[in-house]
Amino acid sequence: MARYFFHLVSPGQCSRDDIGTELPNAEAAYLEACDTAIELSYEMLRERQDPSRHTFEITDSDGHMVFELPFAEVTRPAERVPPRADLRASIHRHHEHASGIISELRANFGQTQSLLQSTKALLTQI
Amino acid sequence: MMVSGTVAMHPAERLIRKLQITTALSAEDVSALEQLPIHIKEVAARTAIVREGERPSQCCLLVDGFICRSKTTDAGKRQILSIHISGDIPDLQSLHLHVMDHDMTTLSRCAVAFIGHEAMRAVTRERPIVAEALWRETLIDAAVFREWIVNVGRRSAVSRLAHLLAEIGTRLQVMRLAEGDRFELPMTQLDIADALGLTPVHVNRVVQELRRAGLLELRKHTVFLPDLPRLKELGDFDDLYLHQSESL
Repeated sequence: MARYFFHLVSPGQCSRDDIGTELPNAEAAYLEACDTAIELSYEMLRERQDPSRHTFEITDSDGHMVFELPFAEVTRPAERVPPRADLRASIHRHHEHASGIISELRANFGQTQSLLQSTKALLTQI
Repeated sequence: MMVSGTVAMHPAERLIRKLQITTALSAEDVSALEQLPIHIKEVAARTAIVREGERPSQCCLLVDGFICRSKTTDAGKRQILSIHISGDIPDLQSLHLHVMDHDMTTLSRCAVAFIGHEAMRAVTRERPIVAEALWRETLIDAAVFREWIVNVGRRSAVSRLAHLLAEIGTRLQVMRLAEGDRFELPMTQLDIADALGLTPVHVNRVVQELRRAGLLELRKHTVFLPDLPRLKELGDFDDLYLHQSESL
C-alpha cells in the first residue's frame, strides 16, 4: 500500500490534499480519482459550476506527480460515431457548401480581375 | 478503547442505562435484565459477528467498542447502514426475524455480550415494560435508518459528514461516553466513505473542508467538534429522530 494525495486544481486556485489516501498502486489511485471526479462533478453541477474546468493532480508521498486527471476526461461521453447514412448526407452537404463557396470565390476573383484591368487602362490614359 | 474499564461493570449495565433513557424501568425490571445469562467475548477489530443469511440463536449486546451494520452489492460495494455504540443491541431484530438480511461487523476491538434468544424471549414475556423498552429500541433503530436514507440520498457531501459526526457525538453524549465534544471514533476513511456513499478521496476533501471551517479536529481516531451547534446546522441535524427521552 502507498499513500496518494489528490490535489484539486480549479480555475485560479489549487486545493491541496494534506491527508492522502492509502491505495495498493497507481492504477487503483487512477480509478479512485475517476470515481471521485464523477462524484465531485455532481456537486459542482448542483452549484452551477463547470466540472470540466477542474483537474486532479495526484502525487505520491514524496510529492512527485504520479498523473493528472482532467475532469473532462471522465465526464465527457465517449465520441459518438454517427450512422453511415448520416455521414454520407453530411459529406454531401459539406461538398455542396464548399462548391458554392468556390464558385462564389471564382466570380469574385473574375470581378476583381476585370476591375483591375479597367483601372490599368484608365492609368495609361493619364 | 475503554475495554479495561468495563471489567468491573455488570455487562448489562450499559443496556440498562440505555433503556432507562427512554423507559422507566422498575427495580424488578432492572434485576431481570441483570439476571440474563450472558457470556462476554472479546472480538478483534474488523471481524464479522453475524453475516447475511445466517440464523443467529443469540442477541449481541455491545458492551464496549464500535460495530457497524452493512450490506454489500453484487458489484462488491458496501453500504454501512448504521454505527453502534456501547449499550446497543444491534441485532435485536434476530429475536423475531430469523435469518439475517445484512452483516454485522466490528469496527474496533469490542467487548460483546451474547444473550441467548430463549432467555431474551422469556424476559420479554415476564416483564412487559422490558418488552416495551426493547420494542422502542427497534423503533428508534428504524428512525435512524430513515434519517440515513435522507442523509445519503439528499444531502451534500459536506452535510452528510457533518450529520454523521453530529449523530455519533450526540448518541455518545447521551450515554455519557463522550468527554464534551471529544470522542473516540475508530472508523477509517473507507468506513466513513461507505457510511456516506462517497469515495474515500471525496471524504478526505470533506474532512479538510470541515477542518478549515473550524468544525472538526481529527487526530488518529479522536474526533473533536469545536463548534457543535454550527456543525449541526451544516449537517441539517435535528436529534428528534433519536427519541432520546421518554416524552419523545
